[in-house]
Amino acid sequence: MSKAMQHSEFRQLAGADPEHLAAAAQEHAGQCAECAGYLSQMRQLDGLMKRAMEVPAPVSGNVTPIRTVVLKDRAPARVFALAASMLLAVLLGAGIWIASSRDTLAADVIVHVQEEPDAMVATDNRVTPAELDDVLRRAGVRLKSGTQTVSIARTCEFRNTTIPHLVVQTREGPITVLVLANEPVKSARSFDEQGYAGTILPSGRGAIAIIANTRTALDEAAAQVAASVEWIN
Amino acid sequence: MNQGIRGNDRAQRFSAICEPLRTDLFRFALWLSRSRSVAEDVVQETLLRAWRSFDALQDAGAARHWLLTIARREHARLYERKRHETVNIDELVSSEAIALAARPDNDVDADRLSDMRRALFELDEEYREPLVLQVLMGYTTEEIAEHMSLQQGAVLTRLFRARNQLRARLGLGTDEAAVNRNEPCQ
Repeated sequence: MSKAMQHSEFRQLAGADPEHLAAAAQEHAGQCAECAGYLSQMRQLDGLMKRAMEVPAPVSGNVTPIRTVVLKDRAPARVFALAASMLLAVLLGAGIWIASSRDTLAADVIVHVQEEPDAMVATDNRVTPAELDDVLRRAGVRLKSGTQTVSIARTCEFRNTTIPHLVVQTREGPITVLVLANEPVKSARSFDEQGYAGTILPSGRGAIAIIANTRTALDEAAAQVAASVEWIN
Repeated sequence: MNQGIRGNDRAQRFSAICEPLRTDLFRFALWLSRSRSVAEDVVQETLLRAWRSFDALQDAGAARHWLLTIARREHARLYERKRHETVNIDELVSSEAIALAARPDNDVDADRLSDMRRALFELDEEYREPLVLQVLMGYTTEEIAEHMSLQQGAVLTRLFRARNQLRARLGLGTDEAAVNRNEPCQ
């Protein structure tokens, strides 16, 4: 016989996800009028919430890049105009940030992470020690601690060299670690830009860049990761 | 010539997959930013970025999740830029909330909808975002956890607190008393 569900337990479940209750919670709702009433309130609240969130969207056409880009295939002369305008837009956008950060290495690190948005996700996937070792060895480094929290280990092109790109899972979310053997830096530098928190630390003959979605995740993991990197040649 | 045809095919495929998702994209961006103008910028930037990396999208069924992930990142980037431009986000948000809440609804529940929108606008982003993903986008708590790079338990806690705060703002009471009672259901 299962332990009786308490009001608090039921309300936390129903208050978090009223449309997807576990079988045990559904069974309890069928036996407890108070909890059933609470569940009904939650579902009514969600119904009202959904209607409130369904605000009208602007009509299609004024925010699309599609029509503009199609022109590229039809009129070669416009390719340059379009490319120029897109380049200008990209440079302007990037320029604002680069000028504010005054740190092109940090800028390149952010761009690299942005190009691989699939990497910064929380996951239970883990690489094998052999996979991790293979990736790190090419850069002449290894991790002192185990591989239990590394979900991705791959080599990437960065500033015309191949570097190890790791994603480490922490309690506060995933962080990206780039081992930059050819980018010596004199001192540590931190940045909070474009939705990322990052730090670049001197390490061995180069540097280690660590990037997270939040400063909390970064602070928790940066020192630990940096300390576990060991240069072997 | 072939390149042109391929380009047109690509554009047509992009349009077929992404255009139907524009409304979802805008609403997500709006509730994230609490500003129609910022939301339109986020949509624009998201579609541009999506177009540039469209070839990487293998599964059309994953397009919605893919676009919302890009939109989340673009919102963070634009918000950062707005902050650098010294725009007073609080003033912006306040005016948008009033404008949005004042939008006439052909609905007998117009007042309740207005109150709800105001209450949603006042929620912290950490609570508002998972709520929008769950209620409006139909995400599971597991998908929200992946989208926000959180543990599923953290998502459940935020969703519970979000609804609790909404109820309090709407004058419906909270569940603190019940939660603290720890009594078995009868």
